[in-house]
Amino acid sequence: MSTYAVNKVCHLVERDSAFRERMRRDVDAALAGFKLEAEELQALKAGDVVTLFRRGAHPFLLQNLGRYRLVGLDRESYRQRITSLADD
Amino acid sequence: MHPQQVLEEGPGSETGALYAKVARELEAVAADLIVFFDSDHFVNFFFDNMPAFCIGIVDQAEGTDEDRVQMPWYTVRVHEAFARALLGFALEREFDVASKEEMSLDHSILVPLHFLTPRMHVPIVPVYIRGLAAPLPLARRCLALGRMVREFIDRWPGSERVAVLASGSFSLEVGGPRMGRTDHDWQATVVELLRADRIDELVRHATTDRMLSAGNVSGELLNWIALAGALGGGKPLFVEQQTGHAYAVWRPEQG
Repeated sequence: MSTYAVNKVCHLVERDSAFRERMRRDVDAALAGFKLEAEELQALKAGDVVTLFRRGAHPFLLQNLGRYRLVGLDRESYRQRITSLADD
Repeated sequence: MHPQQVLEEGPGSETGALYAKVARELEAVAADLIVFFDSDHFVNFFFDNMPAFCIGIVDQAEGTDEDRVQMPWYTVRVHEAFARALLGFALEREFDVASKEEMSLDHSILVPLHFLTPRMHVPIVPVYIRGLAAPLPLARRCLALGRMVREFIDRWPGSERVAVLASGSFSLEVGGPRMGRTDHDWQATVVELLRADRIDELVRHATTDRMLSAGNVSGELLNWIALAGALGGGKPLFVEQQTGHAYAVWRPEQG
């Protein structure tokens, strides 16, 4: 399980502004040092928060991708994607 | 309550008025020490090391350094001797709590203090309960933790008048599929049981599954349950609801 690494990335984009900038400038380079599985790396780069959520990423951290407008997301697109999972 | 929203609303808002109602009671007892049950929001802890219970043992702490939170920067004194002695007492009483000697304060402590003790003149002792990320500690264990803290307060030889605060939502989903929704049934149940001093019943209902079905950070209710343990019974002066959470005050008999 490498959900830890996904959570770590999402945590760092809030806690570390230099890392956040690296994510903006060159996402491949920024993520190179993390022990992410191929599917997670792909989902992160695509802003596929549904997949990341399903794999166990914590939404409190995951939402940072939208908040900081990373990997093609913003608050609204994050909200739309994650709430598509609501079970009703 | 979202900090930025609170600041935009200001002291004249509904939230400001509710905090003022709590602040009046706190001023009336002239507390000079606040033991604060709180759940950390990934400020002091991450999954590399996330304790179920932790006492902050520092002489002062600042915050909030949560990048997204817009609020004044505060420095708050921590009663280090009390905190350290509480750690020792907890371990003696078989609560294997963690301790942290370098920490910052997040919005869930600083927003309440912003309204309740804006001069930040009352030192605090932060007691963290893992409430945001499952697995959560059991509600009955949090109740017992609160009782242990109360026993320590009653034995503390200092002359401080100790207030106990808790912060946290009953129903809140942050960033998850149900964001923006509130579990009104659960909210009503929690408030009813708090008002009626039916804490044992609340503890039985507050399983991890039930709390998390009310929202992914609804484990913050555990802070309220620890507070109930510290109070040791008695009905509240009031419990005022807002969406997903409440404001309440108890005035327990002195131990």
